[in-house]
Amino acid sequence: MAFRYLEHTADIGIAAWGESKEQAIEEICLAFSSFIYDTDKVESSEFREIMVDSRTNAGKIVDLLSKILYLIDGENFLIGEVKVDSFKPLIVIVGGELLNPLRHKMKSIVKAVTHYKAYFGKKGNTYLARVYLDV
Amino acid sequence: MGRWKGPSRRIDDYRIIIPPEYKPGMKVPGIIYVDEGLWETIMEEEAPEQVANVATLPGLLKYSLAMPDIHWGYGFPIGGVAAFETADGIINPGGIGYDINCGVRLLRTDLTLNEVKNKIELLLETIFRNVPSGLGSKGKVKISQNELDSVLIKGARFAVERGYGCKEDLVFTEENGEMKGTDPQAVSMEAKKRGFPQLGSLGSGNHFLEIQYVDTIYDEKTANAFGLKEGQITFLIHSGSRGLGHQVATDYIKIIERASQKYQIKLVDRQLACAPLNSDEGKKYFSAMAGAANYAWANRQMITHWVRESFEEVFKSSWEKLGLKQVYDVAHNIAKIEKHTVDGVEKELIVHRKGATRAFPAGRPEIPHSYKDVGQPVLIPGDMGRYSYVLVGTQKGMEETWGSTCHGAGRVMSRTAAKKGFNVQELIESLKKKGILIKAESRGTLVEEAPEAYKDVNEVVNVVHGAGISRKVCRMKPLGVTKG
Repeated sequence: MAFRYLEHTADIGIAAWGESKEQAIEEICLAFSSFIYDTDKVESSEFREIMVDSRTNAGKIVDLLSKILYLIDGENFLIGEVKVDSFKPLIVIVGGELLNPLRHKMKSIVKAVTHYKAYFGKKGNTYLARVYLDV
Repeated sequence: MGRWKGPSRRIDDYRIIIPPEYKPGMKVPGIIYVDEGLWETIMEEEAPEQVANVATLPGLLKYSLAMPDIHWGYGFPIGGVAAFETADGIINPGGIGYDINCGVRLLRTDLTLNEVKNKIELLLETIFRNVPSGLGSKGKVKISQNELDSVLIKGARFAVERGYGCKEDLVFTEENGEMKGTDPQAVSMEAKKRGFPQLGSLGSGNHFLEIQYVDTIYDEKTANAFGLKEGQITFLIHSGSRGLGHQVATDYIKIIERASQKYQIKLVDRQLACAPLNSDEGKKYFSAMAGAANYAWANRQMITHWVRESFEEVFKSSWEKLGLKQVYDVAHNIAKIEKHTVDGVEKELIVHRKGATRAFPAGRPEIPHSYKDVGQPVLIPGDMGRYSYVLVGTQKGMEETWGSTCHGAGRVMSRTAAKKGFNVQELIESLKKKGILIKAESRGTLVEEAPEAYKDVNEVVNVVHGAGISRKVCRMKPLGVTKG
């Protein structure tokens, strides 16, 4: 995976990157999910579409991950696969399955995805996505 | 985050002022309650800059305030206090935080240290079994969608009406555990879906349940009024509004950010997004926040019930006979509408406390009748290896900080650094040597919450006591802690 976790006194950040916008977005979604649970054990038995209407690129990432957090926390739907369908508007197809406590190991609780230092853009030849999480 | 290099001047042993000339847009000074030792730690991150940023908000009264447990937060610093007039002021989700009404509740017992010390392990195991906690924890309360709306309106009263606790508990809860002005329609379906299965659960992270004993009394008269004495067993509950509150904050940060642009409010940090309290957006956020606050009070009420059941199971006696009564319950992340005197004139204000505690003095109508002559209990949890405190509100606090004080210890070490720096088994052993037993769902969470990851709560409390904005009543030492 092309990501790393960022240090923060009270919380934690995630930076992910890719050769395309789509790849960077897919990476940060999976990095975010694997912070919360073990994504290796998730099978894509169901697919869902997420659409985000944010005004800024950084806002798109925050809102996308917030919607994924809702899927995990509100619908018990764990994602293991992500595919960006379009960027304007941002439409993402996520594959996953409902939480099964016997197979899926939860690792962390995330309260929210914040706008603090949120970033999405191109640096050199690489697309970079970054968020900080309230945990 | 780098070390803060802005200007500051020491007013006295316990206060630092950031002058309004520091940055454009500051309308009032920033005041941080801090001594020399803690100030060194606080300057290591940008929290003082956030105090200055809050001072730029429209209509902020008097000062942008921060307590000695200040640390960096989203927009507002944790430990920040800010007041605005309700007539023309703003409301700011960043000034409340993501975990709306994260707070603490203190129970007392008639048990003594000698009666309990051989039963701590059994008690911890029983509590751990009876109170849902941990990662992805679901509550064991089954309610319908309509009943969730009742939780948002009635708060702790909903739980009491369902048989969780007694009416007396409500009297000893801030706002009687039922904040007025809730509109369940203002809470999104997403927030309700996140909160629905989690009602009646502790959660994870820094939330905990702690068996303690009173080890020092500082103010006997006030301690007597609170029913506290040396050697007595007490119990502390720290939890919040779970996913429901987190989603309310997420939803409204977006709505209020757009409202900031609509109402042409200039922001130095977009995370300080705010809206006029009396705007449609402001009113809706207040209603949703009040609902989340009520959810948290219902949650702590249910946990109280299961803690009582656990004591009953272990001590083979009713909770009433064990004297397991509620001392008080306070919110740490909330905005409240209160009456305060501003330049000699009584006004209605909306006071934001983010990682800060209301600390009202004797005589205030909001305080339970039996505490009227001494003041409101203020509950300050420390880390799991040191102490917790009961303080009491003072008139000086009313005059200087809108009746507010600190809320806890405050982190000084990142979770990642704590995970790298501490070994779980060594941590458990070192706490055991101090006479503290630990039970946790997640070993990862446990090392993140190591005592060394926090400021020393003694230092924090000494500042607010020395400054006179609240006063020490007693100190409790942990005996057993369960964490999610």
